Amino acid sequence: MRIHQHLLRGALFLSFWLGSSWGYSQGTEVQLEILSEPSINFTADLSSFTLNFSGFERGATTNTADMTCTIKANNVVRTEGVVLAKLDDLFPNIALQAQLDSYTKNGGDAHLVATSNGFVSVTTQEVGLADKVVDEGSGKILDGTFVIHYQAKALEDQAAGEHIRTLTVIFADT
Amino acid sequence: MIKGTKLFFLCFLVLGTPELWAQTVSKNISVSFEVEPVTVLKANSESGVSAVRLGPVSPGVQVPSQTLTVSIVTNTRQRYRVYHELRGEVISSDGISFPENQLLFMVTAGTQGGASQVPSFIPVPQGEISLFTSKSEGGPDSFQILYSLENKKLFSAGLYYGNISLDLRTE
Repeated sequence: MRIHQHLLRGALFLSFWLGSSWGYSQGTEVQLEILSEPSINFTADLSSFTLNFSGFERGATTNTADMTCTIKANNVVRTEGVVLAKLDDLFPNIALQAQLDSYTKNGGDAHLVATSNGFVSVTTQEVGLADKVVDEGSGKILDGTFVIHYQAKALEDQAAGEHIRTLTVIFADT
Repeated sequence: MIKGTKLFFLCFLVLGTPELWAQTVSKNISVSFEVEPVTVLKANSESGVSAVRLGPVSPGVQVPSQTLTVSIVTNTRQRYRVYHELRGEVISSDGISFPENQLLFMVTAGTQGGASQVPSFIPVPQGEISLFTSKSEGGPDSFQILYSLENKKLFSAGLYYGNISLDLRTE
């Protein structure tokens, strides 16, 4: 009987000691969500420019105007024709030409290259000037600057005069 | 035959006080009870759920920090620590990993005297880090974890998910 009581006391002491003295752990789980919105920030340093012919004969070319563009975009799924250009109306017997040059990468995981070597004629239809090249990862982030050169070429002899058109430069991510 | 005779039975009723009749029997009964050690750790955001939601993130725009309030209810008197673990990568449904070192956090001091181990914003590390130490005698306490984003670079568009584990351990 006495041994039984000792055993009982020992068990009670042990349970108390275990409950109060041993280390314990308690935890919880937390879900983390980060929403990054699709964004395009496309700017150019020129809002207008003038091209002047040094001659009026067919084949004559103008000076070159350089437009520096800055692009920051984080959802560029598109790979071909990422930068496009179009005119609201054609010039009379004058071809407006554009060429993308010198993309400088400031960040992101992709960069742009010219769609074609040399100048491309800009018409009233969208014409691709730049394609995307994936450098790493998803390749959906573009962060950099590039230059577009413009010039015009006379398709026929030109009479003196001034022609004004609206040129639209487009950045398309999808 | 006895006629006209009535028999009378006399009954004597003896009434006594209880003290004279009751017996006093006492027995000692051992009563014991045990209060189990209880510790509960809860984490709730401002919206009341166990989730941290950052964003929408726009490039170059500082995202407001999100607060997770951690409450410890305990009846023990042991010093404890709370650990934070970012389990695995923070990843989008497209499989894009959120850039490392762009998720930041800091921890406030406890309302009941516990100490923050992360008093200013630092990048949330992969794996486990000690966030908070209770006062020496333990006890209930509450503190806040503030999450923010570096947001100096462009993040690929998408909804990113991650799992955070908070663990309390006695010393």
